Amino acid sequence: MSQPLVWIGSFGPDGGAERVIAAFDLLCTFDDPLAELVMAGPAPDPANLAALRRYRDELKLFRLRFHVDPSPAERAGLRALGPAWPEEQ
Amino acid sequence: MRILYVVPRYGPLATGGAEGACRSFATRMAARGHQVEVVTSCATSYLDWTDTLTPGSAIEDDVLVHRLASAGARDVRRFSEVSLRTLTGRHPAPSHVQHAWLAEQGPRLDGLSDWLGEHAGDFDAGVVLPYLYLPAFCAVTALAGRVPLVFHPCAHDEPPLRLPVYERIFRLPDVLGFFTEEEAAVVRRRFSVDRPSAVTGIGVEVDLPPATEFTVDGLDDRPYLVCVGRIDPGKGTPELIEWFGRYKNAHPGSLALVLVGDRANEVEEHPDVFLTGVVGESARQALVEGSIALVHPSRYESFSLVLMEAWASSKAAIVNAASPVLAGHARRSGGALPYRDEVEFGVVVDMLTAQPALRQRLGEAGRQYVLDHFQWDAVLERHESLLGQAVSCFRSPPPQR
Repeated sequence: MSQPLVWIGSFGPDGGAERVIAAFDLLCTFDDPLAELVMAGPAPDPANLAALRRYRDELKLFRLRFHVDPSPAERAGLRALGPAWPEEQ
Repeated sequence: MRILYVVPRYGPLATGGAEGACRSFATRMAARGHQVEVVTSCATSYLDWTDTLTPGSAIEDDVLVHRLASAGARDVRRFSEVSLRTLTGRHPAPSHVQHAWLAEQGPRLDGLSDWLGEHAGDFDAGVVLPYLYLPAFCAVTALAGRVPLVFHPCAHDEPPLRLPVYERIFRLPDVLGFFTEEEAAVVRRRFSVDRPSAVTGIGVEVDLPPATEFTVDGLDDRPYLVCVGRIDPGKGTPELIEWFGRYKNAHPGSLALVLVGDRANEVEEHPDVFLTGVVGESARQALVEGSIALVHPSRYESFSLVLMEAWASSKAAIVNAASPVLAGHARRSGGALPYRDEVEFGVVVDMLTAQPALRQRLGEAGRQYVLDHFQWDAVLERHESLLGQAVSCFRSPPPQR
């Protein structure tokens, strides 16, 4: 099984998460239905995070997981899968 | 009449209710003097749509069959993932996901829409079936308005039928043809369509030649129930095996269950359950005729030729009442005992094994039902009448608003 895609950023209103979800929808609708995406990062605005979750659920993206405020150990795991954590860049 | 049938698979190897019905209609309409052509795939399996037959055109039983190559076999894992997204959850998947699901459903045939657009004018009428697969979607959208069009959805109440992506193809045809009253009801309920329609049914051979003997290894002279059809959760077979196993634990004896058909999933071995695999028509007939009764455990049926053929042989039946079609046939004919759960299944098995006279009465009632409604001549007359109705609807101007 292939590794999941990892996006690390902010779930805040200006973090670009919505566009990533839209792109992932196109990817798994038209190219790779087996693709997985983990989106991780801080969520400074709970209302925006709720809207993102709603958007994911409306698109029925069952292979997209949100990982909010990962712990240091989780961050280490994510680092192994994807790019550096923003705070550490 | 020059008639075009569009169906995802065609030929003696294409087992399936809609495909079998299409072939029967096509060859019999050709025998009645119509000029019949079929557009289909090169596949024999609906699981992956792999091209196993040669693309091109050929005459088969007086029918000109055009086989188009597949634009790609179905990737079962991809299809499962897209199906999960499309068919589960409380709200419908977005439109683009439904279209992607339909494309994965397949079969994707090279140049189908172009072929239909180019040749539509060569025919007096088109017949498309079944609704579930991509060719029906392409054919209805390509042919509607170009040729009088009959759409046989072969529908039953199942999750795909609820997808909005199908709305269009139930509204574009000139007329709708149904195989049962229950199918007509489910389509009217789901789509609120007001297209002219008729229930044609499917014809059944009522006077078959004597069947050749067929021996099932290890069955010997044991009495048995027989179940004919794909061994598949969608057909209710695993549930039947489980219930029968528990029934036998509670009622030890010689009664066996014989399953006739190909296996879509593994079956746990059981000393009272026998699997024959796919057998020829005559062997299948012999197995049904030699049984105590036919068991039909499917919840999803749009007609059930298997049940009709058993009744044509005056064989009693046990049917899953969760299928409106099977329950409807049972109610109208008096030829089957329906069951709603495991307890009732056990009760009807007890009744039929213990009462030969009851079995005989049910079998006779079933045969009479087939004779009254599903002899080929009557069915083909209804089919021809439906085609005529499509021509009239096609020619009549739309109502003034």
